[in-house]
Amino acid sequence: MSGLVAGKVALVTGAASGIGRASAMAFAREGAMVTVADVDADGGAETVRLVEAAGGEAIFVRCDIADEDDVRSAVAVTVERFGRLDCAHNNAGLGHGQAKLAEIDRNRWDRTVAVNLTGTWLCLKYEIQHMLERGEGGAIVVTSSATSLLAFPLTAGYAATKAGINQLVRSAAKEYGRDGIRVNAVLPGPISTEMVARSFVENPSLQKHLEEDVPLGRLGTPEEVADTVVFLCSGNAGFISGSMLTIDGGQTPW
Amino acid sequence: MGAERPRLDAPTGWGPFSLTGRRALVTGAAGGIGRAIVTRLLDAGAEVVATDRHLDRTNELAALVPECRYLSADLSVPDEVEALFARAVAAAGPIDLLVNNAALITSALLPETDADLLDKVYAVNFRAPILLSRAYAELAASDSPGAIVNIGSAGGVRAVRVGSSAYGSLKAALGQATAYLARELGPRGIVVNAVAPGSIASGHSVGRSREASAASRRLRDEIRGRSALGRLGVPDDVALVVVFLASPAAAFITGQTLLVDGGWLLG
Repeated sequence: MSGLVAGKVALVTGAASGIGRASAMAFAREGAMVTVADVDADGGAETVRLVEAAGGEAIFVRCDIADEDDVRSAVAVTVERFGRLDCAHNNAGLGHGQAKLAEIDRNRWDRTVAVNLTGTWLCLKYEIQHMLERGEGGAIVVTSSATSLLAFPLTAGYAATKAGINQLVRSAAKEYGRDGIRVNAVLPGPISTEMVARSFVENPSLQKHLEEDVPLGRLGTPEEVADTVVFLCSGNAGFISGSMLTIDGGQTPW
Repeated sequence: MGAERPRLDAPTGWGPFSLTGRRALVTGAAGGIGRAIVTRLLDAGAEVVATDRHLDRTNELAALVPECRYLSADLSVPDEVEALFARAVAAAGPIDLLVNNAALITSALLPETDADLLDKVYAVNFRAPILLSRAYAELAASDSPGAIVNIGSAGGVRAVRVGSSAYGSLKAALGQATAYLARELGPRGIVVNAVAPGSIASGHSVGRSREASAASRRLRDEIRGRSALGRLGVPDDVALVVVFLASPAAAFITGQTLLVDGGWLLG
């Protein structure tokens, strides 16, 4: 078996589409067995099919990361099926819709915080608990966002949850480094996903603005984020922990 | 590949992380981190032109790793820097990957930080990588993806150590130049990134005084204590990240300084 994460077991949340699906496929291509976790059963099944069609091994677990029982169960099912959990990509997240801070709907705010911040914390919690129990360390990558560094208009609540995620990553990296658990964040900028396509529909001038604003002059692909995630989960990144890696074609000027 | 060459733990596959068909110029190639970078670039499929100022160390490396070309250059001399890139292209063909790794490592409190020391650190650690980037941008093949990887330092991100004001500040300047050049060269499809290593056990302490070695040991113990992973890095930790940032897998990453510090700077 070959690949950067050959023989490892990976859990990817939000894996029914976009970056998560690309991540599940990249983990599988690099030799890992993958749990595809998502609220979207149809999309999740399609990701499993794509992994299997490429010669990989994957299972689907329905998981709303804001639900503690779902998260506990996603880790448990992974361990039951594949024997352990070595890598996790905590990627599931959602936006509250394009709105200025004072116009964000309260229910959408609550749901954004519940999924992005609380949900990501729950994933870290149960993944780390398993890794500590097993005693062989592990590697976790969280999908944050370049919006966590800047004040992109109309994303205040989303960006705040992503900034919170950055701090969870730093704390987890510090607290569990001696246990051999590495935790890092990727901060995607404009990536051609359905989530971004939706924001282009809501705000049509955004696409042109983004492409002009990105020094590389294009949007990134989910695969580019996925390859970075797999790299960070691999032994090749063995001395990287608590790092934030922006993947944005140079859009963020620092 | 020679049997006597010390093999690092070779990863089993490179996939989109492969550098097959790429041609790299690596400065400071004979030092600890430089050697690891050369070795890993070769492993990943790149052709490598290696340069260093230290002839003895370069010869030693050439004996261990015969499959790359060696050029000698003193990067503190602007004319030599400007000529180096053209020499590399003449020797090997178009270069599409530049690794600015060479650096003077200095430790000096303010009383010892005189004009001479500042000039020397500036010349090698900042001026040379910028001049090489300029030559690269001028001569790089326009139709192939390009990458510049600068070796920065955790000391350029935070003031980690008293005595590193010159070294650390110029590493910070290199990090800032990385971001600027990423913006400038992005439209041409050239990505520019930096790796900021924490404390790497790279054998640079060879030849140091006993006092300096003792101080360095104390510092390393302190770093080991503070680092999240509880260990110092090894050159290969840095080299594998350089390969990643140079690879197609990282084609949308530019202007970044990636900490490779074992979580040292987390506090």
